[in-house]
Amino acid sequence: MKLPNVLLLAVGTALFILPVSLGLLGTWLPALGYLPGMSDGLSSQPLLAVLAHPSTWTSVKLSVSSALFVTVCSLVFSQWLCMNLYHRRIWPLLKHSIAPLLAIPHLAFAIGLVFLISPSGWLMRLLSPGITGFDIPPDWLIVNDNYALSLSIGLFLKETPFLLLMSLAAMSRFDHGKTLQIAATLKYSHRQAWRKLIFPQMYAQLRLPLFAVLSYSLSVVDVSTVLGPNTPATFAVLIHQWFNHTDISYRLLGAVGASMLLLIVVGLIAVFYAAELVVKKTTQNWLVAGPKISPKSSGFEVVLAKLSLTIMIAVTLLCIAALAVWSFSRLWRFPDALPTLWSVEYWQKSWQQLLEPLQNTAIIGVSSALIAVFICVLVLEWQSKRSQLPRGGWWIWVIYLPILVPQVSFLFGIQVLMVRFHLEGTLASVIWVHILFVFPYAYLTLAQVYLQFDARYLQQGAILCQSKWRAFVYIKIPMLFKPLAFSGAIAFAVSVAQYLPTLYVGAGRVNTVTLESVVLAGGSDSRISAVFALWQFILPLVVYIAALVIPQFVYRNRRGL
Amino acid sequence: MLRTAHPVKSITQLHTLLALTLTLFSGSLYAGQDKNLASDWQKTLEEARGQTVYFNAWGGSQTINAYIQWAAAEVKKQYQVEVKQVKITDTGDVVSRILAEKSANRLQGGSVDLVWVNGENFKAMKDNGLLAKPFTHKLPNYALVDTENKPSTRYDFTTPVDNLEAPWGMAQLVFMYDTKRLKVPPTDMLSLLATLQQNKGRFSYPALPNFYGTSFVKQALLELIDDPTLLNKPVIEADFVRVSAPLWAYLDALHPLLWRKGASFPKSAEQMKQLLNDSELFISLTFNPNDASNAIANDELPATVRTYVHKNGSLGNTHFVAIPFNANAAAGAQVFANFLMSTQAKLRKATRAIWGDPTVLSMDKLSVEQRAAFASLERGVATLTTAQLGKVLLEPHSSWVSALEKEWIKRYAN
Repeated sequence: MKLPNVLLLAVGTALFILPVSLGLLGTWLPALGYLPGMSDGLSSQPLLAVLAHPSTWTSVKLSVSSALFVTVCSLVFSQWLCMNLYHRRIWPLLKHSIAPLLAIPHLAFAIGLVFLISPSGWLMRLLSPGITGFDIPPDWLIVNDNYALSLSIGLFLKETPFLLLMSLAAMSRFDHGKTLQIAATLKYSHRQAWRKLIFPQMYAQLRLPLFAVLSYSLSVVDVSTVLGPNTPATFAVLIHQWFNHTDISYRLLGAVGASMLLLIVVGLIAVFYAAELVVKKTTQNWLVAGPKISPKSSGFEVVLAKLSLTIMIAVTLLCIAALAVWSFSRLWRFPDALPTLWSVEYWQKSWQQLLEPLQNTAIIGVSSALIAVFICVLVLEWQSKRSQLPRGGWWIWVIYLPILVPQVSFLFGIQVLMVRFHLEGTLASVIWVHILFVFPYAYLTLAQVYLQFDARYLQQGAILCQSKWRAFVYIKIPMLFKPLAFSGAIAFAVSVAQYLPTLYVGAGRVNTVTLESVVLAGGSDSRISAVFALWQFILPLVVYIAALVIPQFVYRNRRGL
Repeated sequence: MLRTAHPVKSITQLHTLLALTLTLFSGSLYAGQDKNLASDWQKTLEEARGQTVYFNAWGGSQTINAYIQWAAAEVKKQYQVEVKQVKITDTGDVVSRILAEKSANRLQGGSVDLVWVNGENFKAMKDNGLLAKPFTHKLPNYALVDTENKPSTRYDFTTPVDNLEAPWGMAQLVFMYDTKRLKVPPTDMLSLLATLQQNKGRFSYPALPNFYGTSFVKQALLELIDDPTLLNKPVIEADFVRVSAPLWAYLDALHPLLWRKGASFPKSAEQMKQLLNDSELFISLTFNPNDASNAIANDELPATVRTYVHKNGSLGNTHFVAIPFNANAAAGAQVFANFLMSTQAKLRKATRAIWGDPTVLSMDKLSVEQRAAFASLERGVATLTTAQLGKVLLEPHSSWVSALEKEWIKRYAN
């Protein structure tokens, strides 16, 4: 192995592989019955207890089915949107709506969705009593349904923008424009070209983001408590309940469950690989059969795609609107369409209470985003100098590791380790654990643009500036400032939304807006829940806007860039 | 491991014995002890000065958070002790963290200095040696606590408190209902069934293992069991299947009449309050008799909401604050715990607009002015009088909780 590879491996190991593996180990040992201070010998008791627990299997089934639903549907839907809307007039809307849609934290979105669609939600209020005739809300099971449908739909609505973003990034990785042009001259219809030529190239790039979606949907706790079923809950929530059970011996069950969840993720990833192989085999003939003369497709599908995109954006906007209305209400009874009394007192109160959490969130978010982007630049600079470096091989798996392994599977172990070395409960350690989750997203949004940077600018600059270093600072960084800022904004948004890592590593002492939101979302006051959910959204939004505006402002004299 | 049973009868015996001993020795012994206590307390106060106490307390209620903020400001002013509330969603989290610290062999400098706790969590901490040495008897204000007439201040869900946690407030299971939707409230579990037949889907209880859910099921068991005295003993001494059969028969009949036909349950009592406000539910439950009045004042519930209790009594318990074995600021935590039991703090806590939590103090042990201040506290529009609140039923032996929970999950959450 060459030196850079060794160094890269060392960096990767220190940053990602080591903490994750130590965390996993710290979870597996208790799963085998070893947790010093509680039970010392190895035993199969915890495993048997989990297998015998009445909720386990239903819970696992719910988690698997909803995760598969979310992964498959968001993949199909995002590709379908791309295919039908590519280079149509609505395309810029799709491109520009992605960032704000991503900025909404999952939890805030989930709370908003409940305010919108539950039987006493805003939609029902707008329709009642006029259309529905209800003067009390109907007893309909909409959210928290036993098939985890509302959870799946909520996650689907949040994961689609992520896959769209990843699709756009993937498309810039191969010459999709040329491909489509050539296909057109060969009489491929747009749809055929997309399905036979674009998608196979796209999927190779989307595989890992897709697995990230899969792992996330399997292991999400906060959204699942709000939207998911509870008789029983999804497996991740059940595990979380075990870890927090009043009977301390349930910690061991939690550890077993967390380890099982990891196996499930690995198993499902294997299933996806197998499915990919099967699809490849069975479609081989069709793929190379060339263009088929098909009746010109009606515009119906395109209209449907436009409509779906609009609905997706509209539902999200309505969720935010529902939160906003609740946050300014004082009295809002069913079936009033709007509050009868308005008030700003909850915003005012939250401000005093949020001073410290806001500060923490900002410090943690900004530092972890800056550090993550900085490491990204180091790594990418290295990669760009060595074209022989693996681009899609083991390296990318290392980066993805923290977001592929379910958080509950290793956070307990990390917590035990942190406590042992007296590192928990400080800002620094929370920032560190955030970098773990933030870095992959920062890298993914930045890598493509960065690696495609035309080195000739730099060579030219180096000649003119007489220094490679100055050329880097004065030419490359300014030219890449926009993507750098965007990647920082994504990193910041990811950091703001972290719940479990902040809770486990911060020992509850490092309070953030998200921790407050989760605590108060479980509280009784809709008005306060709404205010905190919105705070959770405002921070990343401000940073996104800054990431858009600042480059324009700073480089207003360099329009040519 | 099972703990020894402490049936009500033996509590009363113990109490009589204690009272006797106290009367016999009160003269000579007390003077010397007082002096010792006083000088010890001075030492604690000095040690506490400048310490930062991390108070881990459930943070889901703005009202309670605001009260804790006020108390923190007071101890800062009076004793130069800094108190920071660590807002948690689940006390189990905290127990878990302290356990993690214990398994990492961290015997001092722990992350938790004081924790708001009771029942199962207290028992878990006690059984696993996660608590500091007994301390409440050294706190001057502990003498004001009504340990005689409020046995739940000494037996936390039947686990002996042994001075390991300081009583902070009283709780009693109370139902809230909206008089606009429901004219006549139920009077017991059976009439609840009848009421729901007329109002299908308008009541529920949180899914177990939620504390309120467990409490509702315990209340039902207390009302339906043939021989309630069995509940004072460990569950292992009873024939659980036979004894609990009426309960499951009742729940089987109740669930189809519940909100969402029992296919889904509310997450918490807090969510039920929201649902009551939205008229999704007509009946909800709470452990704070003043809850409804506060919520009305706050526009969190309609002004038509009132409260009721079941005629043969309702579950009651005490909530406490405890210090972990490895607390970093144990002295500061003691000072804060002592302040929380002071008449100043208690009076404010019992004030309706502030929190409205029933006091643990004994009126007989207060000065005339203090007693008058408590007596003049305004009672909320939906708050029952002490007489209306009726009989307080003691919590069953804590081993029943896990048996009930397991069976409930087996039947309704699989």
